Amino acid sequence: MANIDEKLQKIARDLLESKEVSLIIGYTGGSHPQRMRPVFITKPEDVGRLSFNRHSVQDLAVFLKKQEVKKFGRIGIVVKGCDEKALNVLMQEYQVSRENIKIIGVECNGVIRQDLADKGETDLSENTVYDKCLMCGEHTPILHDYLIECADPQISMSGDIKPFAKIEELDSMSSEEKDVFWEKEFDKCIKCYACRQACPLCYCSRCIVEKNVPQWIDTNFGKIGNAQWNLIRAYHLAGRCIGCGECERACPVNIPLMLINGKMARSIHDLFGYKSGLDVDAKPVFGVFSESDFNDFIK
Amino acid sequence: MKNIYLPKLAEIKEIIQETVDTKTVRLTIDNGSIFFLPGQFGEFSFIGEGESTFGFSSSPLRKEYFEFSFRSSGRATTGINGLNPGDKLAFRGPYGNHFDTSKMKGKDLVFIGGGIGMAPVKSILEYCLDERADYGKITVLYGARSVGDLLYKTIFEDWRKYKNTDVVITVDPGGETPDWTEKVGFVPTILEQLPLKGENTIAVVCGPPIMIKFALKSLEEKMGFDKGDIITTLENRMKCGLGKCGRCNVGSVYVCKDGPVFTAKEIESLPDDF
Amino acid sequence: MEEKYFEISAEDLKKFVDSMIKDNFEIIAPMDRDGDTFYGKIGKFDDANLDILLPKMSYKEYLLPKTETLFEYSFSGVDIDIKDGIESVEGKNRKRVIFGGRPCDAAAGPIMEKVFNWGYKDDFFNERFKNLTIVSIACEKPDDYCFCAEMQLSPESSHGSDLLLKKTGDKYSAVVVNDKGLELIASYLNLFKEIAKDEFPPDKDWKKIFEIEKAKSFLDKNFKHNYFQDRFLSCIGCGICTYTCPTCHCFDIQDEGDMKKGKRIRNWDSCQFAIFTLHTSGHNPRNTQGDRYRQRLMHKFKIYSEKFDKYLCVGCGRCSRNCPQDINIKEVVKDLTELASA
Repeated sequence: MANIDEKLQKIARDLLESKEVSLIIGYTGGSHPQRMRPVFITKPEDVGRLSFNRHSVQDLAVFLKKQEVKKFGRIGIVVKGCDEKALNVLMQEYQVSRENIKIIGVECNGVIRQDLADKGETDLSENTVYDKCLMCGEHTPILHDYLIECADPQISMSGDIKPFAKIEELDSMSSEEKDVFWEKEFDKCIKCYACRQACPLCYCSRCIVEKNVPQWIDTNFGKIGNAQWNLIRAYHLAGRCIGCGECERACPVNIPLMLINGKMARSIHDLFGYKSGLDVDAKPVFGVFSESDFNDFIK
Repeated sequence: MKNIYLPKLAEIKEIIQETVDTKTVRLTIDNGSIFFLPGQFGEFSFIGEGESTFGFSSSPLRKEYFEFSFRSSGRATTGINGLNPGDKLAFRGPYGNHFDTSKMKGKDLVFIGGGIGMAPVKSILEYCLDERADYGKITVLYGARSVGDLLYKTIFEDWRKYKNTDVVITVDPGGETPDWTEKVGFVPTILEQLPLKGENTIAVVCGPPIMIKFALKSLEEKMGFDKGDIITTLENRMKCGLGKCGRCNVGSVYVCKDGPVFTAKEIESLPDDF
Repeated sequence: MEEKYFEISAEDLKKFVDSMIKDNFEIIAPMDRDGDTFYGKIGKFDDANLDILLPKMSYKEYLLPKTETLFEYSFSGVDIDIKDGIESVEGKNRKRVIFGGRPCDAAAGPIMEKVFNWGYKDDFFNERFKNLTIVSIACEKPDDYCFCAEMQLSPESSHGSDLLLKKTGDKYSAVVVNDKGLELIASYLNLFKEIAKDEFPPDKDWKKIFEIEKAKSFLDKNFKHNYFQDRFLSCIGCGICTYTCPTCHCFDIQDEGDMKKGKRIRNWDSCQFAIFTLHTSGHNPRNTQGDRYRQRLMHKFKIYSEKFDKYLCVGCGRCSRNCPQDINIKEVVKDLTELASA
């Protein structure tokens, strides 16, 4: 672990000293030993704070949408494989330009769920990581300027745990049953919009819920307002969500948002053979059409 | 139990199209009257489209109506913009503090307004004109970006009819029309040309932040006004108007309840949060 | 009234709660759900999780609902009919008891009450607050996020509770703080045994790690300090801190409906959102997340205390526990006190 931190710190120091970047976004120790938090390093003498471990849950790409961060211009960012996919989409969508970003990739074999870590969990296993880690196909960040190898062993899978099993369970439900399921889940929503804020890809300068001439989305916390919000967000992320799971992790009332986003991602893959965030040169799936597109997908 | 958020209904008596996008709405309250003082504000709404905060622009001594001026820009103002005389508007208020006329009595007054910021100035100006004998010399300086952006064009002459009252109207350079006979120049520039001194004079200044900034500078540094004798209003975003909803905090004041009227001296002690 | 002291066994406490439920009381208590604990309506005593330190959200919504109808309207021609929403809160919470909350949550009610009665009386809040009965359980082991002692309270404070229980071995000592508390237990007095004041376990000496007054003195003078912009670069403006906070009470007023009928509602809102203070002109007095987090600190530790004495914070630590970017308010306030001395 110390080895990783030293390598990280050296890369960061070199980047800052050579003025290739003016800011490094990385992780540092948090409130307790099982928590990490983002850290923003601008001076070479501060790089000692940089660290990375199995508790580095945040997707730091979220900060690239902040005006206050954009001001730094050239930025170095520490990313796991899943987080890096967000960078790819941001580049595909012209939100971030490759020249302005130095990607410090960290190989990752999974991060421990925050809720478990808060209770003291330190063991990396199929029972303690996020579902996304069990399904991960990008342990090594696809794009990177630097790469730091992983300190953790690969998680052994017993086969007993099926990631996103709930999606299949939902698929087998009738429309009415699904309706009941989601109504109950959305009923918890307190409209804090933390899902949006935590999302690296929700970068609209004015979100649809904030547009009120006309008022598109009801502002109330009732059945309609809550469903409108959660569904519109799912639609806006269809074909874009890279599955970092930050929305679900942030949600203070534990709505299983990755079920919606995961389902959308599966449908996009089934229909168009497209997976978001894998190819920085690909055209966004909803940004292109071809004459050979079949037209019965929209029914 | 009382619902402090419950509006009264007011009937629109008259709508004056002031500029392309601003209107003045004159209202009477259904079954009753309202009592307000210059500087105070209300929450006005076309029910269904949400409330907007506007200062009263009429003199409370003119009892036949009360009025506000607004620019149509957001959801609520677009709603109000679609209304006609005879339609009903919801109203809550009056809220906030007011211009302290007891401090103004016996003194010379200068009223400085910019653009739609003239609305609250008009209220206190007309209040003072209604009680003209109580005050010394009155000078009005009103400016807007262009001739087309001036509000209250039809009543400048009414103001000029009062004794010992100067009314100076100006538009920014480039905003004049070929037949424009009044001043051309930015408000602070014209202000410095006026024969005004800080002694025994109270200045009321409302307008866009940039105008206020430079007008205050002129008054304090070049014309010798005491900061305590310059009065202005803050226009923070508000929702409740009652000191509850929390969005108009500046330093330790709630603009809606402790304000909106502040002296330049009070503003100076506030952090830059407006 | 003078405080009264009682004892109740763990077994009788269960009977007390179950009897109240039988008598049609609505008991809101910490309940497990989705791997976490939230306040919710329990069907029986055993549904409650009284071992948890704090539920993830506070029970603020029982005083200030997430959405409240201020009035309903309908149009007929130019006439507008308005149905006052205040009638719907009449008697609200009269048979509702918050059971098993912690002293920090209980202390939040009187703090909000001051705002909702500053000049104008907000009876939506007042009616709910007046009728709600609060039975709290003192904390035995606050965690590292807690700082109620620093906020002039303590893990054993009865401030804001109507009845406070303290666990001692397999029984509870109870202090009845006011008439509302006494009224609640009146029908179940056979379960309680009155004890003398000196038999009630005394409060422990809870250590403080900072003096909150010092943080205020820093805020008084350092509005433009770089600390705010630098420290809160990691804030993503999600507003969870404000939504899970027991004392944050900022709200928005919105109209919803169509040309025929609808309602004016007030919704929870947050100073952490850029749109909160955005003027129609595009000007925003609080343009950065640093500005906005500073406002939260200012409101809690300066503005409120200058208006109403005390602070707009009970030290529950929810904002820190729930922050997705691990911004820890206890550390932040401690930083402020250290900056004040620097």
